[in-house]
Amino acid sequence: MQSSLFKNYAWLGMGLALVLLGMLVLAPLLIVFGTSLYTDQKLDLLAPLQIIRQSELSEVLFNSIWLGLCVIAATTVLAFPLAWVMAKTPLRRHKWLDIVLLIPFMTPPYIGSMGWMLFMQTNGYMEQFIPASSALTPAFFSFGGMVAIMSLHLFPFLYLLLRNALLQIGGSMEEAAAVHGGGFLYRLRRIVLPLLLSSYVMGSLLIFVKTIAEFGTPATFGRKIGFYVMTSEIHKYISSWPIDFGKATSLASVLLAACLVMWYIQSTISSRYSYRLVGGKGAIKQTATMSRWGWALCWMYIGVLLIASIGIPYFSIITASLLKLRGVGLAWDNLTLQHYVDLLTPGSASLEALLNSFGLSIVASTIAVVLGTWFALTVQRSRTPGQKLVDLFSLLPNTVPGIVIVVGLILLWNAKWMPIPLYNTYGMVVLTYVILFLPYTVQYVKASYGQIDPMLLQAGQVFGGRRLYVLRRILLPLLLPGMLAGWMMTFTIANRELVASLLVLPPSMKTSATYIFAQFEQGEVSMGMAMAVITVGITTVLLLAMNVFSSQQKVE
Amino acid sequence: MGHIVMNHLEKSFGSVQALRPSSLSIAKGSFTTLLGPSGCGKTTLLRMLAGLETPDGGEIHVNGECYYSKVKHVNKPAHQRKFGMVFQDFALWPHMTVFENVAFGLRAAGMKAGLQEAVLDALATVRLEGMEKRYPHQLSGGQQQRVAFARAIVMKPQLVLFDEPLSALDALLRDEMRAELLHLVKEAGVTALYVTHDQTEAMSMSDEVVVLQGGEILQQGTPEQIYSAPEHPFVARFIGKSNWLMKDKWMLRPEHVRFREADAEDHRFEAKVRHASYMGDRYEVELEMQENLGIWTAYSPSRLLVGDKVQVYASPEHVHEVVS
Repeated sequence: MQSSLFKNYAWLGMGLALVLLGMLVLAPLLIVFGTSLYTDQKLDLLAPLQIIRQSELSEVLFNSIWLGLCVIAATTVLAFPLAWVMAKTPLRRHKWLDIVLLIPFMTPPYIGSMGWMLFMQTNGYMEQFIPASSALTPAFFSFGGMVAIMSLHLFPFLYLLLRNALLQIGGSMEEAAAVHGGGFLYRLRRIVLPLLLSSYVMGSLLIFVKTIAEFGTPATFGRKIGFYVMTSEIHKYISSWPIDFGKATSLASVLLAACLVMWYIQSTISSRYSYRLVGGKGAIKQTATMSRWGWALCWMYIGVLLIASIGIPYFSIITASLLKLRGVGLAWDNLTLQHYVDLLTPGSASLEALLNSFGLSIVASTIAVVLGTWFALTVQRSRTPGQKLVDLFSLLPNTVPGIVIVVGLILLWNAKWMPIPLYNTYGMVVLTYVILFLPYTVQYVKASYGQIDPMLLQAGQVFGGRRLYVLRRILLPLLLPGMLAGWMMTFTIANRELVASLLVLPPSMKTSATYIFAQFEQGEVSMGMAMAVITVGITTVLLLAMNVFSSQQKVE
Repeated sequence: MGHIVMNHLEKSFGSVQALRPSSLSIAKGSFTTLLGPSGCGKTTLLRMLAGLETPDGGEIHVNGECYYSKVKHVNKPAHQRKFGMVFQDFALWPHMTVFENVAFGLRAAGMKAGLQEAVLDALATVRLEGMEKRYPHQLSGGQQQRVAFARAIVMKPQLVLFDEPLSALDALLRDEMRAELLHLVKEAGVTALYVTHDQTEAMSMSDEVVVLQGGEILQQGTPEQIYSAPEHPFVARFIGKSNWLMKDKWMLRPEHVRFREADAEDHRFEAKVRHASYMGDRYEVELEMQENLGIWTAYSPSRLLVGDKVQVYASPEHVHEVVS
């Protein structure tokens, strides 16, 4: 009975996947909750909030929420006009803008913040260009500046959601409303906004989650202006004296709970209020005709946005990496490539950090691809409860803030009863990266799998292929693009990961991210920024190349 | 013998009974078609035979060997059944060349010597010489169809299954491929089991037609038997046009309705012309019959005007009694 044997294998594989995911993903999160809820030998569901209230951390909690709300508002202001321009005006044929607009989103936030700080600080590049602008400096180093930096990082995400929704609504839906007698405002109110609303609400919830889970900007800019949020405080309580795991896990629990609630609301909305907006085959895309002023205005808006989100941070980083002497400032004869030479000198700490990053990322992404492919194949089309559970768990690291998982992993693997001596080793870093970035492979491979017609596999069976033969000759080759995308994504993201590296690297070890962070803190800005240019440059180019490649494949 | 025999095969999906216990046998070298509307169970039957679906009960025997038996706990997996199959939408593997698509089964069986010739032979049969290095997306619909057929026959299987293979093609190409497919099947000398919902395909290609409806086999017979002597009112209605002298009991085909009396024995009916459509070689006339006989169809060589009162005639020998 071959078929029942197969069922047994599937059952076994499912069980194994669940056990592994339980150990890798679920256990760290549970231990965070457990530690924070179980105080003084008793279980208290409100313990985290008690601790936060008693230790005056409520301000931190409030800061995070307020920051999240303000970033939603700011990204909306940035993204809405852009989405409209790119969906409804002739400018939308400039597809390259979509790719370019991914750059801010792909730039690690800590590096973007550093760029902005270099540009805006006293004696920064802006003052060197326009000395009179020094009046702006204190105004920028404020809560408002922080909101601006984070919004400029996150707005492309909301933009893409809104633009796609607008594109789908456009054409036939709006035409139908017009034919049936709806005026412009009536159409906007009755057709466009209701259909857009679910996309917008989903997008802004995700922006909120991403903002409160963000570590890079609070750790750099926030610390400088003395604006503390949950993530930066969690980091403080587990990395610097006096170490207080109670407070750290309390904050982490609240952060985790907030994110999970947001995700729950988001998924409810998306399943209940999102409509299948299929633009019919013959949908002729109407574009607004534009006057010359309109053109100028649109291009100006895009130009300012690109300068603010890409131009300024990247200009600052690159310039800082090239300056001979900081004091001398911007001048052609003050430029040098010496920092790069120093950085890449064999035997230097910087080259070692760079190679560490590459090594860790390669190992981690390879393991993540193997595990992720296995989980994705277990999930298949997510039909049975077991498959849904594997799906949920394997995507969880993308749902919850990275810092919470990292805290959980430290608590778990550093526990007294843990028999596996992984903590404080190379392996611990790899494990952390694998868990944090597992969802990428799972998602990419799942998407690839979804596109494979089941008939292709059945044809393999009918023509005499055993299970393994069909897997090797048909399934894996067809999944390969998804696996490759997952590998590249994991590799690039792991290469620049800051918070996990800061918290779990063995004491003597550095990666490029921690190197940049340390150099920036210690005033060795040029070396730090040269490192930033190299890592961000390599990885951003890789990501963009992958994006272009995959969008071209879709066209075929 | 050389038979494929299915005994009391049945299958349910949840609470829906896709196939009631059904028995069917297929003669060696024959072209048998499973015909029925969508959801009648024909595809389920085919997939169970292929081993892609496990029946709930019954038996399958091929050449006297048991492939599936609920009672004996036998279930040969799909990859050991050695059938060929042409899938709906062809299911060509997009990452393999035409050559590799056709060679798949041979390689899976571990064949090395003679593989090249076998594949090229099969490709020559379907007249695709020189195409072996191409990928499926570089071929036209008709060429893809032929690759799918070459893949199905390269192993010299004892049975080739066709799952609505022409439905993915446009109407013009479908007519062309119908004749070509039949020619290829006869040339290759294989036993074929063909699933379709298109009665033209079924009638024009098959040696045997099996009509299914609602998970039940209603009738099995040659196309001529199915058309002229349906054993079930559904069969009479589903294949060709039917005029009823008595509902679900006495049936007359349109070509046997005459506008002139030929014999004193003829039945005579009064009718009013409801509609006449010109078909090129004749007029297809819709008649509103007197005496509550409903609407009939008849063919006339000359135009009739709507509203005309006419008399029509039919010989008693053409009136078929529908009994199973």
